[in-house]
Amino acid sequence: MNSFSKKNNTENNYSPTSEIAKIAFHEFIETHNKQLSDTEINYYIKTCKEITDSSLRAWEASDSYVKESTKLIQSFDFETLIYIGNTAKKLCTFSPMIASSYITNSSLILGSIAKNDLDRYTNILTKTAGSSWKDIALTNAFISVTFELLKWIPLIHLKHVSLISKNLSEKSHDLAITFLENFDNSLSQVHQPSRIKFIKLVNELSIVSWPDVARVLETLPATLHATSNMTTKSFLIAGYQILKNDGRKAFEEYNNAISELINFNHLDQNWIANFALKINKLDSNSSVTFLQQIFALLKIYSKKDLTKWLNEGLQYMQNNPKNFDANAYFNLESTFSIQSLYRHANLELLANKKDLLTKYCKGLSGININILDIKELIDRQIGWQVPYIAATDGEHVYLPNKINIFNTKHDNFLAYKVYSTHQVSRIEFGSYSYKFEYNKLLEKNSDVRLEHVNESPGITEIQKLFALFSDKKLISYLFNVVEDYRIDYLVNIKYPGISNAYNMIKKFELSKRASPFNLPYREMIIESIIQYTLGGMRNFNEDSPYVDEYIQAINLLNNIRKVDGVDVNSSVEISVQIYYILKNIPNIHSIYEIDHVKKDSNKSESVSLLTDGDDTTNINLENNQEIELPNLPEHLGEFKPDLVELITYAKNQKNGIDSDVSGIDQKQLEEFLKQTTELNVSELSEGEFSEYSNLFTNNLMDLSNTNFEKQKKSEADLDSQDLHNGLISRSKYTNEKTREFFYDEWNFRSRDYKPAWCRVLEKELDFGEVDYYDQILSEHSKLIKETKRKFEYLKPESMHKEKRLEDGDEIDLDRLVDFYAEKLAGYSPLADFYSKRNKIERDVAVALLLDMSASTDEIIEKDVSSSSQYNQYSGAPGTYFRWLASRNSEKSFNTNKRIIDIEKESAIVLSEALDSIGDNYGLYGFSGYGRENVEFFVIKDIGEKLDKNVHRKIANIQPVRSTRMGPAIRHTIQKLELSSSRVKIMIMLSDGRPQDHEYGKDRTEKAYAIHDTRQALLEAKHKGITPFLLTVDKDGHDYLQEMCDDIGYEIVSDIDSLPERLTNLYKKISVK
Amino acid sequence: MSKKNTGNSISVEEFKLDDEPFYIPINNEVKIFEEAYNSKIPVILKGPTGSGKTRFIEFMAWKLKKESPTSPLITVACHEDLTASDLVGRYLIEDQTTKWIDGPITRAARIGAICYLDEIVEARKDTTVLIHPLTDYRRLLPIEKKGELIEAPDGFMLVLSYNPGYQSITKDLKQSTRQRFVSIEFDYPPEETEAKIIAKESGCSLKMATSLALLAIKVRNLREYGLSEGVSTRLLIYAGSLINKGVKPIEACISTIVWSLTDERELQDSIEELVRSIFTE
Repeated sequence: MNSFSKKNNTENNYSPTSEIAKIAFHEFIETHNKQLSDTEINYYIKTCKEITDSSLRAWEASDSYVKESTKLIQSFDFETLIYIGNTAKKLCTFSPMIASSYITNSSLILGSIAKNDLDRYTNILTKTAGSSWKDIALTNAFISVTFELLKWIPLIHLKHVSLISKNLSEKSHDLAITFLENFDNSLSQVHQPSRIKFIKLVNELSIVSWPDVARVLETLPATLHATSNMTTKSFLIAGYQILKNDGRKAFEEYNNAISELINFNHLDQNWIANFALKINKLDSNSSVTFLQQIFALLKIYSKKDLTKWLNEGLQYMQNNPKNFDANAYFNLESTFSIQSLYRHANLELLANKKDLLTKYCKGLSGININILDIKELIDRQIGWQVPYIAATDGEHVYLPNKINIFNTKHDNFLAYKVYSTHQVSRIEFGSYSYKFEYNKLLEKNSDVRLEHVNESPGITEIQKLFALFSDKKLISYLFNVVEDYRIDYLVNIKYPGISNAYNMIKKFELSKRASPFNLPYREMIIESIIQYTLGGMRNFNEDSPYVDEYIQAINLLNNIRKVDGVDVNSSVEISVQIYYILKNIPNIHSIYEIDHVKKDSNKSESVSLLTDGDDTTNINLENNQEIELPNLPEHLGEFKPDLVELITYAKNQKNGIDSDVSGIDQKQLEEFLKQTTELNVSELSEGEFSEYSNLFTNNLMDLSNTNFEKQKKSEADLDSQDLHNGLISRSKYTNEKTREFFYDEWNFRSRDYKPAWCRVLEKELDFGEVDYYDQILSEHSKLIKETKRKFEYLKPESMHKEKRLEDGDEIDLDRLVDFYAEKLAGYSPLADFYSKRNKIERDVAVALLLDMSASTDEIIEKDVSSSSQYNQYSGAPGTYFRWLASRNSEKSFNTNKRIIDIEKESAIVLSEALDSIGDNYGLYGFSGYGRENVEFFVIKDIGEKLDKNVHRKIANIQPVRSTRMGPAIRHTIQKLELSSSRVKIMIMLSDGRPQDHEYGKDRTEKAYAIHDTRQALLEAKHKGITPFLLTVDKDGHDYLQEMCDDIGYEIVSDIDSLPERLTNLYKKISVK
Repeated sequence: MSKKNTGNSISVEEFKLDDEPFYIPINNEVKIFEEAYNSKIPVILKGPTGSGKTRFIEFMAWKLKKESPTSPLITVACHEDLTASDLVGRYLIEDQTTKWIDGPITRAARIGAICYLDEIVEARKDTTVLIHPLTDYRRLLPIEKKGELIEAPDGFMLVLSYNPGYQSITKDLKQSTRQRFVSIEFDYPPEETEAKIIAKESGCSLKMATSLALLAIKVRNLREYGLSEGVSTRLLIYAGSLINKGVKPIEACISTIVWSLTDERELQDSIEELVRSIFTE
């Protein structure tokens, strides 16, 4: 009683506010009356009261406390209960709401940390807590996820999470809340030892790039989840450095790049991580580039090859950090890097050997064979399917884009050589020239009886043959095997030099094949034959079943070696005979089965080769397993004689009589498809079949069309070959609308070229106004006349006498007299008394390159100095108004002109003058946007006549886009190189510095573009071309000096004088 | 050919062809040449380098002039500095006087030999005009400087050779010159014949010669890649000779064929691969 009253006393001093709390409080006291001492009860009540009193709205917290008390004391102990109360009390001074939330979550939190750590926890809360409602809400959210977070990270790291949320909440409250709600999930995906690194990274991200946090948290942990712990750690370290050093964009690229990791195994990931980290330590930005490239590279190159390449890059980074552009290296944007990778790699790439192989195949076969990537053939969807082996459609040889089956580059190249030799030899040795003929052999051995054999279905010759057999697949397969064996044999006879390489590949192919003896009998024999053709199976066990049949087949195969002038018909004969042998071998596994089969088919007593064995075959077939024809050796490629025949047929028809009608009609094609062995047409429904046949028809037509185009293209290539040889064939040139060229670009950072970096599109300029040219002519008639007169002086004296020659057309009498005199005087003079008249011909080619960038659209402002003179009137007062009127009209005339107009006028004046002295000249314009799209306009080619068309093209010169000078200069160089003139000049007319999209690190960088242009100008110089720059940019001195070095340039300050300046300049440089 | 123990000098007139030069006729060229000779019509031999033009003319000279007491054939290799006076002759100073020296064409016209102007398009234009009176019905050689006219004897015949492969505007034969001649076209011999020629000339085995002839066909397939001439029989004979002397076939072919034909690296590689396909290590 006493104690109770005591308790009651204290109780009376404290009472919870809410009804629920009141009930909870009473219940607690009631329930724990016995377990707890009075002192304890009092202490508890005192704590409650103290919480309530700790701040204005602290009753909320104490109510929560009361509500949680029972749970807390049951889960823990009284001491803990009081401890929580005391810590909550402190929190109340910050915010009763936070305290309340803390209390509510405390039992969960205590599941993860010790009671003593609660102080540290509340410290975290107080350090980050603020007083606004948003801050409080954030802290509350933090408290409510604490339990989840503590599952993944220790208490000590919690404060970082809290800090991140605070950073984020400064930008977006919602984002911060979402972050807290999901972060435990992110953490759960990261390996435990790396979590703190992960948190550190996210923290940095929240500072550097807060809007990206949500997205990164969605992707990055998932990526990291797929990696091992060590790898995770490396990527986090690298990522952190990238974020810190290179900022938001680089990190985004990094994050995108590494999402590829999930497609690789742990070993590969670890390998990538290792290099990423190594590069990262030297230059974080380069590690991003590395990660952007490496996944694609791994699909082509082996790790071993790449390791060597990467190590070389790293070595340069370490030894020569200033002069080595690691970014360009790892991005394969420098010639040095590409060469290094190729040098280190064992594989051989088609791209590198394509030209060589094209010529090799052309030499071997004598016909124009294009080498193409096998993917192109597969993409056509007409039957070829295997991406890594060779094929031919009779006109092209298709090869895989890389070969990496041997340990050295040379061996891999030899594989290419064998692949292409085999394909070409099929054409050379007539694999596709079979002509169907029904003969005794077929009559005897084929197992389908046709009433009218000569009307055998199938539109191709080889199909007519296959149609005579019940198992078309088998006969087609056998024909393939035998024909390849024949080609193989003939190649070795005619080209013995390649047989070593052939044997090497055959050995490799043989090593890939499994023992035939586990297969069902028929497959076993087929596999054995294949292995025999590869040089294996020389000792066939005599006890093996069907050994006689095997030997028979091999003997048939070897008939190829015995026949003189063996051709495709021999292959057909042999395959037909082998087919017959095989048909009589059941496709079953064991001797038991065979007995069984034999009993069943007892009626036919002897299975002789030459008897009509239809019954046997049928019975056997019923018991047979579905036959699975073994894969053919890869080096032989995919052999599709019926398709090749069809394509050739279609093409011949098409190119033949009527080009409007496609060679083969739909019905014929459907028939072809029904007969072909390439597809399982029987498995298709009627609808599916017609759909398929339509698709096939379209693809086939595409092929014959594209081939036609390709041929045209290869003709165009030949033209360019001609061009390289200096033979310009004009007519073909002008008919082409747009032609593309690729040029390297100079990267001054890596001091290396970016290979084939810029695409120049050469276009003919469209026609403009008709009268423009004549207008300008009349406008500038005086200037043109004067210029022409000046240029006349440039014409050289026609003859020049060369004297003191030991041989010549004429005798120099003076010299002859001397000679005699000297001779008589006892000297032995040189008989150099001949002279010769030499014609000196003026032999100049000049290319005028006009900048057609958008900036040339600007209207020219007159100089203040020159305009000021207009303001000075010094005439008689009576004529002032007349003066004013004339001044105004003059002004309006001048101000209407744009830079481009002056360029055009200059071009016209110069053209007229050059035409009068007969120098070769070309007019070109350039513009474009980005490296892929440098437009090069041909206004007048070197050697082209200055006619009406050119006049109209000049009229159409207009400002277009940006100024990427480098590729335009390089293309002009190429044009000038084709000219046989002795003196070659390139004059570029521009209105400012080079500038283009991504012509430099960013839009503001000028150095890159200037260096590239300078390099292009130097290239011109090296090639014996005199480059000269004329610019109307008054501020040009600052960059022109750097760009031109010892290359001539001039700045035209008074733009109106440009036409005159240009002609004077031309005189100066062409008469050096 | 005679006088193989060289070092001795003989005058052009004394030169004789004792042994029959080795030549396998391909078409009707022997017949045509004979009839042209009999009809006193000059002949142009056209064809790529090393296709046997010079050997043919030697063979014909031997065949037609077995009985001739003087040289049957006078050959002039034309070059761009070859002038008319180089062909006809010139005055030279000897002591205090001058002496006329006959040029090769004059010598041939005097003794009635076959005058063979090899690669005529290389010579200066004035030389071609000089030969005009010799090539039509007149068969006269005027020597302006001496004021002399030489009437060519029956045995005299003018033969030109030129290579249409080099044809360019500057180096082409004028129509007025062309149309005074009978033309015989030469091309590389068929595979089997070529193999026989290689074997005979180089002394290598017929099997090796057959491989070389096969290689020739393959290389000639590459004409469009800047090898307008293909590989000549002469080069193949060189290769055969080296092989005969013990050089490995691949090495011999690389030195004589691959490197001689072109300086273009990639084309060299392609030809080398052809060589490596045909010959074994």
